[in-house]
Amino acid sequence: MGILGEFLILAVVALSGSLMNLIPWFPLPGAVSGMLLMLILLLSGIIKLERVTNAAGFFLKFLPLFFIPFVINLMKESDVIAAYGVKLILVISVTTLLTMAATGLTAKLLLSLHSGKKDTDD
Amino acid sequence: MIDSITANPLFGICITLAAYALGVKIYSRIRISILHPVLTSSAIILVIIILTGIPLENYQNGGWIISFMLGPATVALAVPLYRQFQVLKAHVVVIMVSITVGAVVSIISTVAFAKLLGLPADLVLSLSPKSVTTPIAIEVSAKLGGLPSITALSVVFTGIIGAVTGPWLLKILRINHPTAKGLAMGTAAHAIGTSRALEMGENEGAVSSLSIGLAAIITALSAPYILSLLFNI
Repeated sequence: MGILGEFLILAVVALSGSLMNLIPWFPLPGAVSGMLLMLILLLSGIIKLERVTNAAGFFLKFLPLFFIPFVINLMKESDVIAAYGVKLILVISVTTLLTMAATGLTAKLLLSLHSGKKDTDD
Repeated sequence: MIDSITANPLFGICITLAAYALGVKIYSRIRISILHPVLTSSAIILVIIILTGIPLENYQNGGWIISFMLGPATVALAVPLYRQFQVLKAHVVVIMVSITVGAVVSIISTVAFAKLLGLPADLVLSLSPKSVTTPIAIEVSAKLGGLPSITALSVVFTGIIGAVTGPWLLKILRINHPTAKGLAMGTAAHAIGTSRALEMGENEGAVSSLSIGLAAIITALSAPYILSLLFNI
């Protein structure tokens, strides 16, 4: 099967993910359920990592390429960008720093509590 | 005649691949974060189709075939998550709590600040999942009623800002532990932050790449509830 089989596995899992999304109360977007399903299949050993390494490597390597067409659709929103572009950048900058600080400080606090119990470091 | 060429899906595919290849080449020569390949290649394509007057629909005949790959690409994100699963097991509480705090702070601060500045509702929704990896941010945004194109651009900007300011911010806050640094970079700035975290060290990179997937799952699960509970959206 080789590389074709690897692509097939990813496609089937992605398709199963979007099928789960047809359940009305299902809380996750299709792509996220596909990712979780793939993780479960790998962790349980139903699918061996070697069976998808090459195809997954391809998709991960070119991930940025796949969302370029979305960015191109900004053409339709040019008036939005003109009106709110500066504010968008301001919101993004400030909240990215806040998110990073909140995550890092929480981890720092928890790790210092943890190291009281054991002194090994990684 | 020209229209029948540009309406061919291969046209959109060709200029996207060519622009991306050029963008990657520029970035590898001049490593300035703002010259991220997605931004340069998108700018190249936009300039081409605006100057030549090629209809956006003609470009997207091929464009959607490329963006269609995001579905299987998201499934592939499970692979780094699986590879770093030992790291997760070793620090499960620290990792899960920190990423959850980060994801929730990201959504709440973004929506609150965007509303404060008077941004219209669809833009507020488009920004809300901006800290997570693009394929998932786009889906979350679409599900909430945002504009996927604004979300895609915001995610790239978030990553660039995180990668540029991250090392400096972590230093000021005296966050020195590799696990804490990796968590902060991956949760706030997804894959672009992770490539910067990899330059800091192997542990930072491993934790950061784990954070991409976990932050995305937590954001996808919690964003709809946070928006309806706190902001009545």
